[in-house]
Amino acid sequence: MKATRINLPGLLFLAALAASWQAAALAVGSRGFPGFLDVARALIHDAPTIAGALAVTLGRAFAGFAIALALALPAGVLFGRVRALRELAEPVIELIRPLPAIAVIPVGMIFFGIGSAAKIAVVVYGAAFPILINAMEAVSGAHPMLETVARSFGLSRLAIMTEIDLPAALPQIVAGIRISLALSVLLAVVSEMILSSDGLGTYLVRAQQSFELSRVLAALLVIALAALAINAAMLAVEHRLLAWHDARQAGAAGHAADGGQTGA
Amino acid sequence: MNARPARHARPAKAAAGLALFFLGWQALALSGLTSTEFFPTVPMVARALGALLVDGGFWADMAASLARLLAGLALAIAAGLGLALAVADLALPRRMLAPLVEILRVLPPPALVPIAIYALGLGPPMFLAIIVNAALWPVYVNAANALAATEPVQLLTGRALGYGRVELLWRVRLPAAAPEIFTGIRIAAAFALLATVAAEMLAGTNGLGYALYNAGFSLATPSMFALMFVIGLLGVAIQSVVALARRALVGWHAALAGQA
Repeated sequence: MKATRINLPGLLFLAALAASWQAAALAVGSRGFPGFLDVARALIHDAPTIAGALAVTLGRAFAGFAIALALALPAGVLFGRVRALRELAEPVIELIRPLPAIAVIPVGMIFFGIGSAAKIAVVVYGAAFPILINAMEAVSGAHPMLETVARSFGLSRLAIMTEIDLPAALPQIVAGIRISLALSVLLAVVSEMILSSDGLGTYLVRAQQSFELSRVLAALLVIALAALAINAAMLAVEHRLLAWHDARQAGAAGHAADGGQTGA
Repeated sequence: MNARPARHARPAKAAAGLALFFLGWQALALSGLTSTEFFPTVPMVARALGALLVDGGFWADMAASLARLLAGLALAIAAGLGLALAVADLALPRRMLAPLVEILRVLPPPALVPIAIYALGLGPPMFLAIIVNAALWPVYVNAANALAATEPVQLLTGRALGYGRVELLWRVRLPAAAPEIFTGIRIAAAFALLATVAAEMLAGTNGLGYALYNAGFSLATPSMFALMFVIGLLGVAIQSVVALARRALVGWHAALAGQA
């Protein structure tokens, strides 16, 4: 992770790209090739609609993410701690995980129709895996000394899980949560694209179907900015939450980041 | 895949886990909580799978998806690795690219389907662009970070041996970065599958994603679950191939670190 200082060359490069895009669009002068300013205009013109759609989409993403967290975190810690359960659960997880969550959208539709419930269900399904797998791996891979010490203090199994395993596994769990949040936004948008009713995904598809390219690009820009903002917020939370952690201080937390991403 | 406990060491437990999963499925299907029309029993799904396996249309869809997926992934790995190698010891271009890469990699690959349809139509180039874009950035970001983070001792040793820039890159930086590059490729493989299925669901006229979409929206639920099973197995197969390639190419790394 980089420090959050301003990357001037990068921003200048982006600005140069935007400027040359605008110049190219002016040179072509076709409605099929809107420039950067056309996109900005579409964004301003449609701002209330886009803001409403964004709120709907993020609402679904966060609702699904919260449910996934509430289910997957305890399950992950439990499976990580109790070896017999883990050995039963692992092959099932290995079987289900490579299936892209997008493939679950038809199932969501059959059970819940095309409303919010179907989309939230898809988000829950996809967002649960990175958290579940990272928590399970981190807890099962924790140093055995932690458990020995906890036992000698006379802690119960439940207390070991909540007071020892959870904090020790936190860096990897938080890495899983970050992946999971990004996936939640992705899945909310895509399920709205396929089960069109409302939200940014539907806005995107409708703009495409009415051949309004500048609105398509405006929606993409908003999705990217929202995802970047969520990621930045999560990194800030992570920084605060983990400042005390030795794994963090040793700079080892980054290694855990890949754990659940293949669940996409 | 890094340092996970050997999970294949206990096939009996694994079989028990899978048996429990299918038993639970069957019990839920027969419980009356849902109609088997919506949530079919295990034998119904197995029969649908059997019917798929002898159906030429299914194999055509499989071939179409596989061709897209593999072409996209191969192109993404080549481009991502090439780009990372090109900027490996050039800090300025790397920093210039960083914000653009951040934006491109947070965009959900399926959300790019509408714009790709505009730019490229509904043919193979559109699918290729979606899949390459999805798989490219994990490869590039992991490779670029790892190539930039070579141990100074290794670089100094290389210099002492009289290596020039290219030799340093090829003989020192690249081998040192290999494990992380494979981590990027593993993530890229998962993203490529996701992008393939999503693009086919949104804009396909063939392929497994299109077949799944059709099965779901025509309420052919046993076929739908059978197709999901097939797509899941495809994911397992791709990840296994990546893991095998990793072991063959960078197994020495784990051996050096004492994890073999």
